[in-house]
Amino acid sequence: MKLSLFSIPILLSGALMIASSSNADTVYLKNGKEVKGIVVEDYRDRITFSTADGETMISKADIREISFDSEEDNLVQLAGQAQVRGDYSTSFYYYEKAFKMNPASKMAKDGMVFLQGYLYRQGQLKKEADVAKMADFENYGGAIVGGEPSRRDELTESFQKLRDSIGITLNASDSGIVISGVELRSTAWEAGVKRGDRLIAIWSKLTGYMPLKDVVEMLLKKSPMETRCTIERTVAVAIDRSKALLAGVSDLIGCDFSMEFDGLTISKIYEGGSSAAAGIEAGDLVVDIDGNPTRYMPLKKAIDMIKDSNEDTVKLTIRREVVLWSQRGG
Amino acid sequence: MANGPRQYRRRQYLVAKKFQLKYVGLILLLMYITGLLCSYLVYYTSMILLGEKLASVYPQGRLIAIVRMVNLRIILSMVLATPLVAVIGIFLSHRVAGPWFRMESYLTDIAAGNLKNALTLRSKDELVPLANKINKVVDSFKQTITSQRAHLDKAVKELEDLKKSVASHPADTAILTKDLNDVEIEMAQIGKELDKYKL
Repeated sequence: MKLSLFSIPILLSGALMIASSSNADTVYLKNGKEVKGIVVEDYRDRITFSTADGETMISKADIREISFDSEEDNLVQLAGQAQVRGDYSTSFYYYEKAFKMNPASKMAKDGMVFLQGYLYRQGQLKKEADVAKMADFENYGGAIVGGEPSRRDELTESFQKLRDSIGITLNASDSGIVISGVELRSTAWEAGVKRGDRLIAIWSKLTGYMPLKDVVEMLLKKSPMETRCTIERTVAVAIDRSKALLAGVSDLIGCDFSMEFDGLTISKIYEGGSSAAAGIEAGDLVVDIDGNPTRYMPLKKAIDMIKDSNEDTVKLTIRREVVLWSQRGG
Repeated sequence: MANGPRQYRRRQYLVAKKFQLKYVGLILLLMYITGLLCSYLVYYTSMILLGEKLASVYPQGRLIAIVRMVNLRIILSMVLATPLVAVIGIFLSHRVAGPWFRMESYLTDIAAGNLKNALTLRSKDELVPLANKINKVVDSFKQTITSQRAHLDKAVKELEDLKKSVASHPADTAILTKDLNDVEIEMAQIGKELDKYKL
């Protein structure tokens, strides 16, 4: 009797937690309608919204407001809006608050780190400009010198800058922004970026549906130290059929999977395995297995797909965060 | 009981440490088992009812994160409930351990032959019926012993009279016979009372 009394609060708190945790994000449309679901991808001009009827794209032009289930997502949204307005200090404040609320929030962390660097860089530039101005004043008695910067072929100039600073060449394709070239011994080459990789996000901001010009601009608008990018690559991993019938996925392709907040993740790589040979690293996110997206796929199903495959290889599409350190003089 | 409704408050709650801690441990163990069982039932029932729907809307990673968070919070709430349950356990076990402790010292007294006092417990205590039975048994012993003592005293007195009669000259046979009969009657009474005990 006493025991059931103790178990009631535990039972209730468990049920309440499930109920409170499974609230959905709400999108308020400009036409007065509201839709409940989960925002799974946030692009500059649209969102991918998951509902009971499947995924759907909603243009941001049609959205009046998005109310996220978690408080930190709402703060990240506010931070993003402030950033667009150019109010960087407010934006930093919101990112920092969201990060304190949930240190696991990649969006909040990336936004915070980026703005920290960006604000520092702006301060430095202002100081440099002031010093130059003072020098000009002393040399020429305050006369305005220099002319309008040349505006000819800005994009070509930006591409050149990108090649010089990070060491990559970008191309827009149907599958998104593709890295069409990597300069030898450049910062991108050192970070393990390869030709043919797709550039998915810069500082956790998705580059999909974004004009190439804006992506280049985003990359050049970097913090003084680093630029964090997410790249995507499809690799063929050989399945080792010599292993016993009951072999686990670690025996078959030389890696272990785990289900993390961002999705199906490589938790461990075994030396000498085919995953290591294919260039997969621990921490890589697996977004697709043999053409099947893993977003709604349970861990067991993903493992079974590899185990039950009749092919000699399995095609894994992985996403990885790379840090591109700024080059001096870049 | 014989002392009337005397009210007293126990100040010490850990009267029988070993017994009470064992009791608290048992309550905690059963709480954990019940808690885990309930969590398991809540988790599986909701997954059976909502699992498919949730899995088609929530990306797997987020769904698993929610489940992990729920598990973590259940464990946390059990950890937080532990001191509270331990205090309640000590308080409840004290209602058993208090009487237990009193009975033990009371029975030690009885074994030493002290039948003067009755066993008194508080009305809210556990084991009150048992204490009443013990009091009844001790009361019955007390009555038997008092009665036997009276018979014995009487028999001793008759024997003294008999001694006097034998010493006087000449001895009166009729008186001697009467005294002997009286002693026999008292002895028979003691024997009769002892007969009710099965040994």
